[in-house]
Amino acid sequence: MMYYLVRRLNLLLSTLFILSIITFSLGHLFPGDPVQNFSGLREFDYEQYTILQEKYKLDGSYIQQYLAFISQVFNGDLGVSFNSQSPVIDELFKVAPSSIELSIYAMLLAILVGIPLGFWAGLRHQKLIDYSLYSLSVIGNSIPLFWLGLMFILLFSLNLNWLPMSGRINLLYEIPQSTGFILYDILKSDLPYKSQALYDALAHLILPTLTLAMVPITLLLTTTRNTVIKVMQTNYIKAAQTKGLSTWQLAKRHVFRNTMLQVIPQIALAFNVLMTSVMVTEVIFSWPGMGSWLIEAIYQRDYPVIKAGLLVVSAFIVFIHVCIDLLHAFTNPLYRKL
Amino acid sequence: MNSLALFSALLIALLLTGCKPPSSSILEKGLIYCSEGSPETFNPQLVTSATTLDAISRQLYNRLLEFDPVDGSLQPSLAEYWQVSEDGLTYTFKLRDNVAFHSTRYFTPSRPFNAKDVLFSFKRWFDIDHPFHHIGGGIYPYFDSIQISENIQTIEAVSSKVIRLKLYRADSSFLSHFATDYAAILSAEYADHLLEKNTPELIDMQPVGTGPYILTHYQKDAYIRFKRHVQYWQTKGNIENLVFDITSQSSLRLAKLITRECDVIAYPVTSEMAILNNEDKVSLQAQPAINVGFWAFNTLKAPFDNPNVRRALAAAIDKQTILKAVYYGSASEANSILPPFSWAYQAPKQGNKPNASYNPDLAKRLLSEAGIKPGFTMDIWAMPIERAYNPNARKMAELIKENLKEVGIKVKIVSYEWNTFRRLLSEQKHDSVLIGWAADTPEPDNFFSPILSCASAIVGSNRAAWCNTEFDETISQALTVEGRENRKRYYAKAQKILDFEMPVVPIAHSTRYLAKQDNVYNINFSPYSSIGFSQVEKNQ
Repeated sequence: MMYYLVRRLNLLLSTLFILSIITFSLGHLFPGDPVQNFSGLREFDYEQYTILQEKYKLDGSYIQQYLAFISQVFNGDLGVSFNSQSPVIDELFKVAPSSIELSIYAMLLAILVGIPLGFWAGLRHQKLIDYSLYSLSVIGNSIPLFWLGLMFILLFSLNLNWLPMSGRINLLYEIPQSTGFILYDILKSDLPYKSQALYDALAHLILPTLTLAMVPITLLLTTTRNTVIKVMQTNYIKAAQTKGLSTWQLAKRHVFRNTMLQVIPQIALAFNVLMTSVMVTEVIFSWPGMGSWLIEAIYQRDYPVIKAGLLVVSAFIVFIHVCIDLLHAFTNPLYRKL
Repeated sequence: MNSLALFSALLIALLLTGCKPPSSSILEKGLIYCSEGSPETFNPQLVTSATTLDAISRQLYNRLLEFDPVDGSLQPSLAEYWQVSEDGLTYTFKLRDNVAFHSTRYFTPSRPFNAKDVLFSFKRWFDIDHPFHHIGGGIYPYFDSIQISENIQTIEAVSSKVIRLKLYRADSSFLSHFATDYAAILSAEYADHLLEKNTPELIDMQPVGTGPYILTHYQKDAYIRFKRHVQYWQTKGNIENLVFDITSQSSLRLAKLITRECDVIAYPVTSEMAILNNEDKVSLQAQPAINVGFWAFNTLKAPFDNPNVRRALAAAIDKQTILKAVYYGSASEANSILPPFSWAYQAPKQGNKPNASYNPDLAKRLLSEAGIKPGFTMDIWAMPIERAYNPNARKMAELIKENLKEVGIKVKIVSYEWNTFRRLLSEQKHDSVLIGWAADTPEPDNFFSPILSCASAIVGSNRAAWCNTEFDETISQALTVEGRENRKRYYAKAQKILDFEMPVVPIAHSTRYLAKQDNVYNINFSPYSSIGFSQVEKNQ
């Protein structure tokens, strides 16, 4: 296990290293003065320019520059945004919680809906319920996310007028921001309109969460279903069946654990899909998270934000991936011997 | 994790029931205005952008005078009344008592508004030695463009409630500048406080004014929160919280109006009018804007230096088709640079304007008289951006191209990126250009001097590069004489010169729109100023 852990950590660190090199190179590859690209400051006098040049070691070799860059990153200095001239790290802390919050709910929904449905379909293999669920998941997986989001808006917001179509909460509710996770912040606050605000925030969450969860749900549904079918065909299950175990007992004692071992790595995959989908979802629903922030930065050619966003999002994905991998290895002794 | 599971369960439950959130007094007493962009600053003295002015000018500040939203006449505001000396050179303003400045989290005023605040606010843009003049760039675009500071001799506080201003020469449009969005009154006490703290630049970002709302929070590209100024000196509406939800996409604003996420939306585009008209509980307010879209000829180039050619081209175009296809009927045909509701406007008399209407035969005749052979080729520059006075210059150019084909003229349509476009235009590289003008005050001079005077031809804002001494004298005289009737005579003469010379062909005066929920009333949506919510009411 130790050997496996070291190997994974090595993978994590080397990927992060490559990522940091790419991000560092962007400071030189983006059009404009590297001093501007690294610091994010648009205007400075000669004195400031030399101070910044010294700070980022821009007159030194690339290795010196890279080391300076990395030490700035570790100090939490990602420069300032071209657009707002406020520190990128502050902006990141403002927008990241809302993306993480949305992703967590969507992932949770995907796990709570996708896996049980997958089990159901797998256990009822080649029955009506299997055919229906499998077809639905194929359809769900083929619908482009932006189209699905727009259809939800059209149906639930514009036609039925049931749910709001943009933002995290009605802006008239002023929620004091402490963690940035809106539901938690509302629950923690002592606002007179707490329950209404909570209700409103939940209503705002429904459509983006559903849209974002759609692909992971179908992904987990299909994987679980296929795994259950495969497990059901193994000899030990057949033996158990001949012993007269009911399907429910079978599922409980044998199928569940053996299936989950293979589904867990798929959750990591689903998470990757989620991280890219969250950007699209945020733009469709004007969700004030990292996706909208990064896409706005791309429109505005806000290089410090693009750079920081790339570093943080990809580092986060790699980190989650390795964590889930480790969790998988921890639960499945066979896997870590590979 | 348990609470997360609970939330998810709640989410699903909510979706299944599809029910509405319980009503809350905070929503009933609050208003969301979906605006089209972020403000650049919180001081209207520093900008001319309508987006910024809409967001800050009427919510945070007052001016000495106001324009009446209906007829554009001057009304008292922070100045209770004013007097102008007989020679038109001395202006005395009596200031209002007991006007409170905003108490904010960053500043608590100790005294009400008085003459010091007026002196501070005016001297900031007018006196280059003022400690705040260079804070924020030292450029005051509106006041600089009308060169008002060159005419101000002195400004003094006679007492704490009386201000006196002396001019070098009489200017009948002078007072109207004090009612524009740019003439906001700032707090001198706050400025002193900032100087003491050595952070003078905060004056433009953390505003303190006397207006109906106080700024509480601003997040760029997201929202601006205002709360009601409880000590506001004027009538108040029933709104306690005002939020500007910054939504740059027009279609998104429309959708949010339909889902009732916005109470009021800015600038619905003309192609969305049909949807808005079909929507229940939503109403559309229209207001003629003080603007004009026109076609300017470069009078420095032959054959456009010949008034006959310009008149021929004017007669060759069918403005009615343009109004239908480009403005979707949301504009009125222009037959003068001045919009019809300007007091100096005079309706054309029959036979007075031979070239005003579509007449291709006349155009052909005039062209052959001027020696223009069929097959003559000219450029039409079409501006690349949308403006209320011209929502689609490219389409307009296409229509004009078709019209000119009928009279034997070939057209090449030219367009560049907006900044390059304006630069090349100032260098007079064009034959003709489709552009326009939106005025800041109801003063007729605002339509003549900045776009057609000889001075503006030098500066480059005169797109026809046209300089006519008789016209120039007429519009300067119109400023020095007293009385509207007298001034009207001069402006009528100026318009007559323009009709004959035709350096620009006026095409349309467009309409400005605002869409809102039916239960919202009393928005100050006037052609003379930015949007104001001081007296807005919301019923349930």
